[in-house]
Amino acid sequence: MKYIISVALGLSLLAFSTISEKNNLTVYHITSDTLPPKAKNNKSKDDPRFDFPESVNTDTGRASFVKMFNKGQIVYSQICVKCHNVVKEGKNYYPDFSLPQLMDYEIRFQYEQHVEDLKESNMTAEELDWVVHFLRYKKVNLPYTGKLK
Amino acid sequence: MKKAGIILTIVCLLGVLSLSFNQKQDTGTAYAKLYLNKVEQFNRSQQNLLQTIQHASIADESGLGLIKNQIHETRIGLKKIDFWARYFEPIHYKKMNGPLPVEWETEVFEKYEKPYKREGAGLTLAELYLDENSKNKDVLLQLVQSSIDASNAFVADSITENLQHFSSFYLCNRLFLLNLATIYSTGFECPDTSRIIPELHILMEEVDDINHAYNVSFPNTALSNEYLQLYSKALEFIKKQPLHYSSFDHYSFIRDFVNPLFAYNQRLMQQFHVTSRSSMDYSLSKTAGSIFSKDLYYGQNDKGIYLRVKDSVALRLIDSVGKLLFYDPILSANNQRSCNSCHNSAAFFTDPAANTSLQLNRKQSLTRNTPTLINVTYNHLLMLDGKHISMQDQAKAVMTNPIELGTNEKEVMNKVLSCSTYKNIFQQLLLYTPQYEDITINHIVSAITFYYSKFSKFSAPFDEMMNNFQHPELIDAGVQRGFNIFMSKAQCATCHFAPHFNGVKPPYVGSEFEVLGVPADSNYSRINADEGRFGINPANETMHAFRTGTLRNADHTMPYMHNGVFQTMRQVIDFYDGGGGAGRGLNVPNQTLSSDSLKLSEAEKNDLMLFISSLNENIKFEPIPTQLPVSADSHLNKRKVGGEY
Repeated sequence: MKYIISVALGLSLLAFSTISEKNNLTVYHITSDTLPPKAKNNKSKDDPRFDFPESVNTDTGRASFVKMFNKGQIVYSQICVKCHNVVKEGKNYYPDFSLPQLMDYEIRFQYEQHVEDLKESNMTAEELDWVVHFLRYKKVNLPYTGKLK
Repeated sequence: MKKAGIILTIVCLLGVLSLSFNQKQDTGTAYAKLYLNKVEQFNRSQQNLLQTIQHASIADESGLGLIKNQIHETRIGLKKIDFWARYFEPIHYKKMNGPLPVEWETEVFEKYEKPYKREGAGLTLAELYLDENSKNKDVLLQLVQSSIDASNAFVADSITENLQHFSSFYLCNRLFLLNLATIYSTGFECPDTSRIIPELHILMEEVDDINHAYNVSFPNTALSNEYLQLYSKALEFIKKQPLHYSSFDHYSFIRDFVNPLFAYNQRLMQQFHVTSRSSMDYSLSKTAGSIFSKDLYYGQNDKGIYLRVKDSVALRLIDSVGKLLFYDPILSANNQRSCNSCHNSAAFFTDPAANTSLQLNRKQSLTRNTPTLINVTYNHLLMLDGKHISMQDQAKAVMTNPIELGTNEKEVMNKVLSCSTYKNIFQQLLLYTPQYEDITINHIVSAITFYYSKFSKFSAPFDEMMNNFQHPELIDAGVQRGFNIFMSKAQCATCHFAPHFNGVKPPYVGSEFEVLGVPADSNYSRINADEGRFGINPANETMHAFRTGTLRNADHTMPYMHNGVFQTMRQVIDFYDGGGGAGRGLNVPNQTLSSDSLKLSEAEKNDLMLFISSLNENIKFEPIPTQLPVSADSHLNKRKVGGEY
């Protein structure tokens, strides 16, 4: 009997890890600790966290982009990071999405989990815009600075 | 023992594999075959129609009769695929059965883009074209050819693959049930009123076949016996009903069958974890157990930037500060006008004192009537011209409009934060909006919209009647008669859709606009000059178009229409009965309302008013604040609660 149980458990574990790997899911609980501590006050026009669009080449323009990126980063930490987080060698990173993955409003219903997490009652259109801009212009392999529990 | 365990495990694995193989083999076969058969039948029927038009004369009655008969035949074919077609490809569906030649689309998920034009075609427009005085066969052929082209999409792999998943069945079924409660029995897309109920029979019978085919193909996620039994009873019910839509008992049909079927379908969707990746399901609630639930669909985010706040203490704080601000004239340039000045909470948040409220200068009037704030949250686009997409934007626009509150965001911030009460509360609430470093105008308007939206949560006696079908004692015969007229002869239901009886129709992703030809005065001397939606989206079809408002609480929200031209509900009903502005001789070439008289009797008009009165909600209003927060700026401390107008 114990063989049957161990085979069944093994199969379940295999199935679970396949699903987790496929969806890149890691579940974290979000608290106020998970907010990126430095993002809030970092308004530097040459913020090293971002690759600015070429057309944004003035100090004022870059400062205003940084402000928006920071907001996007915070909303990301509140909503998205519970599923989207990359762990490499024990460190946490923001994932690097491709441009086609960074859809606009379609992103709200194109993925099953998003139907709940990105519904209009949980994320405004403005917030979605901030997050998309943050992910679009952040540097590749940007470390995640908040705490994950 | 070890050997036995291994053998048993292998047997189990083979069993699981075999089951999954069988499931794959069975999945969708009968169901998909039925679909493909029906689509093929429809396409053959359309080809026959095309040939009939090519060979018949459109200059004589017999030729027109032949064409009309073939259109009716083809419509039956369309009804047989309606269950799937509307959900799978709504854009192509409008090419087969669009009710209007041109529609400007404003779906909620696309409201951040400019409205775009869609041209309708197909059977409804072809049938209506037969009644034109001067007819051109090519136009008729084109309407049908467009329908044929569109219907080809329904055999594409991208569409038929939906038939392999149980989820799409339940989502189609949900839309079907919502349409049963709102458009299928009203003539929304059926120009010949004598055919509305016969077509409903065909539709219902076809869906019965679809249900059984689905259950054969998807036994693990089958419709329950309770559902199928109730569906059979609904079929029996309509077979015993009169064949004309004016005599059909819409009320009992929806209350006793459609709505309980919807509840079953919602429960099954939850039980089977049905998910959607379609924009068609963008707004609809997964949990609403009734078509007459106020939360059937999601319209507006009334919490604004506090949308993720769940803490009840914080929510009470937001509500209390929102309430103070609503009654505080500090939001206006002259510190004399508050939100409550025009949206008077003692008058269902309207201004019954004038057709259109006074401007800030108190000399001239605004151009539009003040709409109630109750149930605003169930619209996708706001204002009568759909100018705003969020309640918070709308609130800010009122503050900065020179003829309304006449101020600016900076001034509002300075004045509001000069009151320590406001400043302290908003400071505490900053914890819940870490994306904002400081208090902003968005915090202020979010508190206001959150406060007044709580009055939109209440239900009306009509909701109670529809939601308690086990309690026939709740039925009011007059309301029942009124609702049946509303859904048929009076044609109200072709623009005002349940549950909010506004212009948001299934699948509840857009706000509809109508051109009614509303006069400037009750003598119908001329059309009101307000361009309406044209001011936002200039097009021939949008001139004088206005967003369809809710009928809930209508007894308390007079005067009526966008310019407040009518003082009583009876005047409004007479306006529609007379064919709107065009029916009274005004030049309204793009009127979307028929200019023919509805020929309503006195008794029918009275019953209609009984039904509309049953939509008056049992709202628990609150006493207004007794005092306003004290400002550090002493000259602001003379302001009065609620303002002076």
